[in-house]
Amino acid sequence: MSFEILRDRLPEINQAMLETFAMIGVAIPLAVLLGTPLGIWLWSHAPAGLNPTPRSHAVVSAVVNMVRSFPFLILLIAIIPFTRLIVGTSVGTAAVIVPLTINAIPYFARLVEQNITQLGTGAVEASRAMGATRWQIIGNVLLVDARPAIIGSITITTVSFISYSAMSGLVGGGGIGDLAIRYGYYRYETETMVVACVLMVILVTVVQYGGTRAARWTDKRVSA
Amino acid sequence: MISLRHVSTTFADRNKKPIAAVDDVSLEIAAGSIQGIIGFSGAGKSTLLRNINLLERPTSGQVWIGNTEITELNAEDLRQARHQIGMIFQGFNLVNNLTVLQNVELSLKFAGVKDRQDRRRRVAEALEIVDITDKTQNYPAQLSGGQKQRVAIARALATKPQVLLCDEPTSALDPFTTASVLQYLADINTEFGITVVVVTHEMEVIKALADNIAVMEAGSVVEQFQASDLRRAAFSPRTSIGRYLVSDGISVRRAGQPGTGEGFDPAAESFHDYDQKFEPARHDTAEPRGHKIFAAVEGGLR
Repeated sequence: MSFEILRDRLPEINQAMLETFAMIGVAIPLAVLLGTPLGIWLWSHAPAGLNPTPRSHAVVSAVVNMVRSFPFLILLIAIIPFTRLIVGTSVGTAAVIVPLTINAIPYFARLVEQNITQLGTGAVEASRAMGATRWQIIGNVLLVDARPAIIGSITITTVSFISYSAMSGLVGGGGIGDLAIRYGYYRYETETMVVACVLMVILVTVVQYGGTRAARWTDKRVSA
Repeated sequence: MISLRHVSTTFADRNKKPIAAVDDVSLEIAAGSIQGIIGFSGAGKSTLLRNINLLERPTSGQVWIGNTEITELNAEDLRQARHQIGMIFQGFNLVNNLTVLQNVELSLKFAGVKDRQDRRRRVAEALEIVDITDKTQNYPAQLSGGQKQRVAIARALATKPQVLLCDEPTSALDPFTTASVLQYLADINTEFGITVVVVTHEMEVIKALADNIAVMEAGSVVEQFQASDLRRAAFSPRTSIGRYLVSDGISVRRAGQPGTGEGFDPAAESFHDYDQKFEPARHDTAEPRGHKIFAAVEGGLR
């Protein structure tokens, strides 16, 4: 293994890590911010939900499924006009953040919907009996009891999208996965490939560890 | 106090066939009394209880509490009315990630008590009634079943309701814990004059607690009597459940042993085939009912 190559690649590696942080650091918080209400909406407006509106639910659910069924690589290309509209360019890190976010919102929303469904209906029913409004139920009961599961979903989404972000090279988005492809694969720099992979493993491990800890810390279902 | 007038509740089964869980029930519940509703699984007693606060809106009929026709209220007025109707459940239905104090505080928040100091004072009062004063910072998972139900009772009482609905309140508890919870319910009834409605399949519970007893079978109230009737020698109930209640409890025939001739004889009642006798109208109590419960509700909490 040649360490000279790695020394020469250090600026690129630094740059790639920053790009990955930028992509994930913008896309995931946006997905949580917008996907959480969407997930709650999907749960609440389902035909057998708290506030059933079967028609609009069918439409929103179909749109969510549609976005979710695009392979990320295709979505990246398909929404280029939209991306240009939002960030003014179709290449570079900023241009990848748009499709990443668009893909992550319905992904996260489905996870949140699932997190809430699995709570069971007991506490919600008790709240209805207490004369709670819909917003009171969501804020005081659902989000409180689903919090550990939702933190778990943030972890899963983050890990998945670190992986998706590797495809950003297609539009010059950079990032650590793209570095592995451009230098490690196309230029036969095995050393760069190994370092990029190790960095990704470390990144995912840290995210997973932090997520698991945070979920456990907020979960009071088992006596400590 | 509570008046159910020709209440029916129909569900569609899996094949879209309508099933009457509650079938034309009329029932008068006196203010300050403890009304027991007893029946086997699927008799419709839980649905009837849910009809009172419209967790399950009746398909037809009227529900009155005092001078208010509950079935006539719009969504907002129903919400307000529910602040005066406490409810406890077999599965306790506490919020697991909130402390005891926060759980009890919820009902006050929902009732619109804005002042935090005021809420905390009333939480303390409610918890004192059920003798849970040293566990306020614990989470439900750190409590026993009986303690959880007492917290649920405190939660229901914090808004000072006129009515307390109890859906199988002790069915998840052992006999000693059951006795303690029933004592709290009786004391609350005496001390605050709250009208208590208890739905259960437990004969002991109904015998120990209720002033008046309604027996449900296949969606209908088939027999009503007073608890004091059970002690009258001349009283001869018509239903199996009624006969059980006046008996000394279960007696099972063993081969080669003479029966005592006393106690309740299941063989004589063909209890073993009651499943065939009554088509269960619906799931009964705290078994998870999916999201179906929300389907037929009060036009949502829109």
